[in-house]
Amino acid sequence: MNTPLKRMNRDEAENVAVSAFAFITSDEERMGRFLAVSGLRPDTIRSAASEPGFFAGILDYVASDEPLLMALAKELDTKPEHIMAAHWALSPSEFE
Amino acid sequence: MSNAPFCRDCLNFAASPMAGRCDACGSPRLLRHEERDLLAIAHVDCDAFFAAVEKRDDPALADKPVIIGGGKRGVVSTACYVARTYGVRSAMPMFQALKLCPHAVVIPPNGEKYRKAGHEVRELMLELTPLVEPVSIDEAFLDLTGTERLHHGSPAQTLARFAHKVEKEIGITISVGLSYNKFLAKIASDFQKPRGFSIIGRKEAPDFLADKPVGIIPGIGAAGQARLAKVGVTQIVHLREVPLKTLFEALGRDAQRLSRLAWGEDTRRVTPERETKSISAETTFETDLRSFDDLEPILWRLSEKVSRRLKAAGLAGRSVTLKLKDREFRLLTRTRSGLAPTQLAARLFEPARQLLKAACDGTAYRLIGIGAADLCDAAEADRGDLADQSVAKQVQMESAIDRIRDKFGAAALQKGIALRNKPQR
Repeated sequence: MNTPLKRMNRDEAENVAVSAFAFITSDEERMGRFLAVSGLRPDTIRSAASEPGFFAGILDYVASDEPLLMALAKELDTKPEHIMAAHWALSPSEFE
Repeated sequence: MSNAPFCRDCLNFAASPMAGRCDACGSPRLLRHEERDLLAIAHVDCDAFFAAVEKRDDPALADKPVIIGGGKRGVVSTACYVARTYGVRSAMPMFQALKLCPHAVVIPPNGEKYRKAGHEVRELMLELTPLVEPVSIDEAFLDLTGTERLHHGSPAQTLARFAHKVEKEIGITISVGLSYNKFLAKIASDFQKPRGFSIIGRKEAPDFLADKPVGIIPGIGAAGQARLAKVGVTQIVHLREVPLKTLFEALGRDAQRLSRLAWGEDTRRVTPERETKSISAETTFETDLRSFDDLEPILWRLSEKVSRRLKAAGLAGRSVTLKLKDREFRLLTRTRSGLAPTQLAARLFEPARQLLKAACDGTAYRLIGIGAADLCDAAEADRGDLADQSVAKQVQMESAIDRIRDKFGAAALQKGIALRNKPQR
């Protein structure tokens, strides 16, 4: 049986997203790929970052790239499930 | 001029070049170096400055570990040398510092007091030479070329006398690095802290640098080191060995400068600068604008610009001024002061935005500007203490965005002002 993901509050989830964003931007290659996939540009990133969906978008991006998810979990010294729980807290499914 | 060692405590020359201690006062702090009297570029750095000022003002703290910084959620701004023996370092989260040194005395920073002491040190420097280039509140480069007659001694002697005077008159200690350029003077001052005086001469520089890690080069941070490590460069000697093309690929236009530094060559001059009183950015419109909705995104971009300039200068602002010029060229300025010191675009923007809202009464404006003033050291800015975790989050977000813009931003920023994006709230 699947264990349900632990509930995480919004604040904690946003902290995970901020760490994920910092992790992505700490490496040139990762940063480039992120900008390419997200369509964001350096001159629009800051306004995008203030949109309510930005944190969810970051974790969406992480969740769609398993090697990145694993690398981030390792960096944060946590389990991938923890990051997924943050993703889930910020973008709950429609059945929520 | 004598090449015999001289005493850094009583400033007398030793009788013998081989002397181990000063003949006059018995101090072991003798300064000797074959190029000692030929070098004139110095870097002066106050030792654990903030903590030293606090210890000066409260002698009961003298032998206690002292940490200057915010509350439990903040970071260490300065740790005294006693605290450093426990492993406490600058920029370390406070909870971690207190884990290493639970009995440390934590003192919140008192910017006013440090600025005053920093200013006093600066005044004494200016008695030695007009060529003083401040790097921050507690360090500066000095060019003492041609001051021998004025000060009746070599730059080395003048600096030793200066160190003595700072201790006596201001009550804190400094470390001095003396060399033939800024790069090496800066490295030298770091060498023997506290109360250090180190010399790096022309003859020894290439050998001295060879086995040092590339991280000692100013501007090569963790990311630069990682990029260099990928091409096999970890020590300065490797910089001399790899082809310039490889360096270019790893570092871009910094490559040339680095390969010169690797041989101890640095042509930058010591340039005295007037102290910065404010940092601002402004722009004039092609057509006059009057609505808040039109002006707000422009104000946001200017806030970003000021934020980046503050970060580059290592400063933070405690007041924000909004500047507007109407079509008759009448200037309107509005200031919000007494703010918590900040470098963050969002925190500069918010008070300016409120001022702008009040100024948008239908007047058509041709220019808008924002300035940060009442500047202080960046160390005092944007502390995530007082249970305000959102500041810490904001700091982390801004530095991530800055990284993106540093890497890809230059070209894209050109038309930024014309874009009508919703600004950050």
